[in-house]
Amino acid sequence: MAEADSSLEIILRNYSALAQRLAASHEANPDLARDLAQEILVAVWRAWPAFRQQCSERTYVARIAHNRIATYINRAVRQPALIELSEDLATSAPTPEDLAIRGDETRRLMTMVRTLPLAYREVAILILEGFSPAEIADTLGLTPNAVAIRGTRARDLLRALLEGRP
Amino acid sequence: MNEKLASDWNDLAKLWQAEAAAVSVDDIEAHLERHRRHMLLVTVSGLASVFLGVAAAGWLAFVLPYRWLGLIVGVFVLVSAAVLVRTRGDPAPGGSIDVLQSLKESLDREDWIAEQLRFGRALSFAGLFAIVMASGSQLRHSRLDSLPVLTASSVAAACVLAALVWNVVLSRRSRRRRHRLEYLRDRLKP
Repeated sequence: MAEADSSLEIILRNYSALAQRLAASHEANPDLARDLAQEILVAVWRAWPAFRQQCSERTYVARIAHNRIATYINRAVRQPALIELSEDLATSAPTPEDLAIRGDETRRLMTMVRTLPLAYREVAILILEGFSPAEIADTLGLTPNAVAIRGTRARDLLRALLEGRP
Repeated sequence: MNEKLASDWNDLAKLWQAEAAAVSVDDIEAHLERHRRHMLLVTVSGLASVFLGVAAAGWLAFVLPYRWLGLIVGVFVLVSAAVLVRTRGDPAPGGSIDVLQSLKESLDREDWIAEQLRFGRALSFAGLFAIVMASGSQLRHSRLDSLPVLTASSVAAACVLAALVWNVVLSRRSRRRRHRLEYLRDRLKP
């Protein structure tokens, strides 16, 4: 039990920020995002004893987090508005002017990331978290080449969004 | 990733990682407690449904003299409960497989759930057919008043129909989940 408690403390210390950012980048409602982050951390804690160094620790955590997020998105069928479905940039997203007035750059970036199409969003989030292309490929099950292509496209989309270009 | 791209990302990554809220052990314990309460509610409502079904079967078989109806409802309720228990369970997402593989496994699981639900629907229709046939036979051969037979048959049919309605609800949810999983997989795969 003490071992479980200590592993939970390690997970919370090292990965709670990652879990919260991952959750917030898929869920706009702060309460639901907090709940999702907690669910991710619980899933990581439960899977922790099965970690056998088969990949890096943070890749292991990111895989669990993304698998949990996929389950969450899958369950949230009654709340489709929370998930960006369009391959195009969302037209209903707040304009850059609105966001600039708010003055919160981090939140603005988070909002922009949430409007990215899913394929680019997943790659963009992991790049922003400091994962290498190989780690991202390992986490998502993509080839490094696909990661590089999506990374470039995600950056272009983010830049366009941040600069307020259509 | 080339240097220009890395430099573009570095600025954004600094901004991205600037906000780091903490989650405490108390938050996790509260989350687990909420989850435990939810699961308790699900288990209690499942047990209550089975209890009601078994009680209806017992009432039909022992209070009213319609053992054949009681037997049909009893077998139906118990088999449905067994199928539901087998179908339940949320496999914990592991860290040993990547997201695309995880989605594939989830899709396979949805197919399996749909199969169980199809079996449940077939069982419901078989149950309804058996009730109608048994009631018809009883009405043809019984010299007694037909009202008690019809009342007992209606109770038995209501039990089976309630399960059938729940099955249809679960099937619709399963189809939507499958559609959503396919959507995610199609967006993510290269």
